[in-house]
Amino acid sequence: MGWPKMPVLSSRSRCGRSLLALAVATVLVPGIANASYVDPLTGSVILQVLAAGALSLVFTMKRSMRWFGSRWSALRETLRRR
Amino acid sequence: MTAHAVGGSFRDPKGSVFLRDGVLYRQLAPTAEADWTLFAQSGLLTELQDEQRLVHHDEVDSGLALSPGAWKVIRPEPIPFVSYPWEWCFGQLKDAALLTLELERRGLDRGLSLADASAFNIQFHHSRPVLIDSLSFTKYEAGSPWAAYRQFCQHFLAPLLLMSAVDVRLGWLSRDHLDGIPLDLAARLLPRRTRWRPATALHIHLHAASIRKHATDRNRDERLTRRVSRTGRLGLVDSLETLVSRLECPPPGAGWWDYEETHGYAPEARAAKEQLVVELAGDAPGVVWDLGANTGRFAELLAPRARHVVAMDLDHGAVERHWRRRREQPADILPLVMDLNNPTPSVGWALAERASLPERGPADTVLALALVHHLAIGNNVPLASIAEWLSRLGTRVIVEWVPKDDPQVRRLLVAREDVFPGYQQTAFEAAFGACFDQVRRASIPGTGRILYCFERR
Repeated sequence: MGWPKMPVLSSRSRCGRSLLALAVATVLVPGIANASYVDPLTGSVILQVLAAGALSLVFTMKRSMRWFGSRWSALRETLRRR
Repeated sequence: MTAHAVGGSFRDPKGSVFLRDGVLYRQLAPTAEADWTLFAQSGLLTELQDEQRLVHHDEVDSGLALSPGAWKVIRPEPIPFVSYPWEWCFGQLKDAALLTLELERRGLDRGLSLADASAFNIQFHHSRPVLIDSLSFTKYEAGSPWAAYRQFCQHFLAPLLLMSAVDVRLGWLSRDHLDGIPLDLAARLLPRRTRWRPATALHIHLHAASIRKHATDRNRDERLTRRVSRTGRLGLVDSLETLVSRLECPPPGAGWWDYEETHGYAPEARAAKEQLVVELAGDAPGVVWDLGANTGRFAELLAPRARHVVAMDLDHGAVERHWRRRREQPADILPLVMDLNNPTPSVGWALAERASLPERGPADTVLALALVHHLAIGNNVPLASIAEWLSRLGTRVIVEWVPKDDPQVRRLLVAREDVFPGYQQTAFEAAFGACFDQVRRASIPGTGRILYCFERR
């Protein structure tokens, strides 16, 4: 007997879970009691690492839409001239 | 030969700024060589300088270095007036933020990245934001996160969001927080609705929570070794750029932004005052500080003959309006938000990191038009103290005397007891006579107001 095994989560699920935990933390976690030994960099880098995947996806989609948009405009312009 | 380090540059181990015989230099340490060479060879350095996005510099003899062991010494083009983020209006801070993000994005395209995103690295020159720290660019290491992300959020994003969503006066918070507004403080001050906007939630609220959550970690988190792709880095910059560019300055409330339309001068009196001020300033007013400049009308009149004009006003709305005009019509005028009742003091490490307002002077010409009654009656400052203070700010002072029976002074006294029996023209002349020689005096036609030109004794 023992603790049931945790299901193995994919990397994407782990990122989502971490971001969800942070979202809950924005509401629940109290302020830092002693600021003298605070390391602000770790939390900032971890957030960046977690968010990078989603931001990269959004950026790629935006870039693709821009590319398709410009092609579509060019095509319409060509058709209009004909 | 006298040489000394400039306060505020001591943090960068790659290069320190110093003054030698009044000329500004920067000494580059051998550790700066690799990044500097990459920056120069990438073509970005020249490109940014040609576009006036990066301050120009000349390479000079390394014998001019302040201390031994310098790899290179450069002489940057001097910035006429160094200003600080809390002295900028919303539009100036936004433009500085967008420049920082543009530099990071363009750097990534050339295999470079900004090592820091300090607002103090940006200055305004010819009505444009410009990067003054040529050593900010370092080699982009594939997979590395942006080291300056938190700094960007603290120096730019947090104050911009607070100014936009709460009150523009929260820009003053940067004066107390020289390394930017702490994100947990910004998160507490921002309205709850900002938690539901994805970009604000991510860059401020989740960011603050993540910093708080990991602030006291005793062991190194394994996630710190994870890689951030270049597309992820570009996505981060794009997300910040979209957020910042959508932020708007809140509409001005009661203030001085519409003073040009509501000042109460008859057109002839206004024209006469403008002509008199130009005459009194002379052909070479040098560096001009216009105190209580409003939207910069008099600064614009003097700018063509001045070396440089700094136009200061307390009202964010007026400075914002002035800055928008400067962006459309660039000139050697720097609009700034400055509370003359509580001007920028010396701040930072050993009170020497950022200079106070008088330490950045003196100006050759100081304009104090329709200002003295606000200081003397609005803030109970004795006339002698005003004269002494102005004598510390400039060598020539053009002051407007507004008598007590003037409608604007009567407005100041409408709801308060007149406890200013000493506010008299004779007392004003005596107070200024103690510090200055009177050069000229001229009445403004159609008003009881008088313009004085004084030279510091």
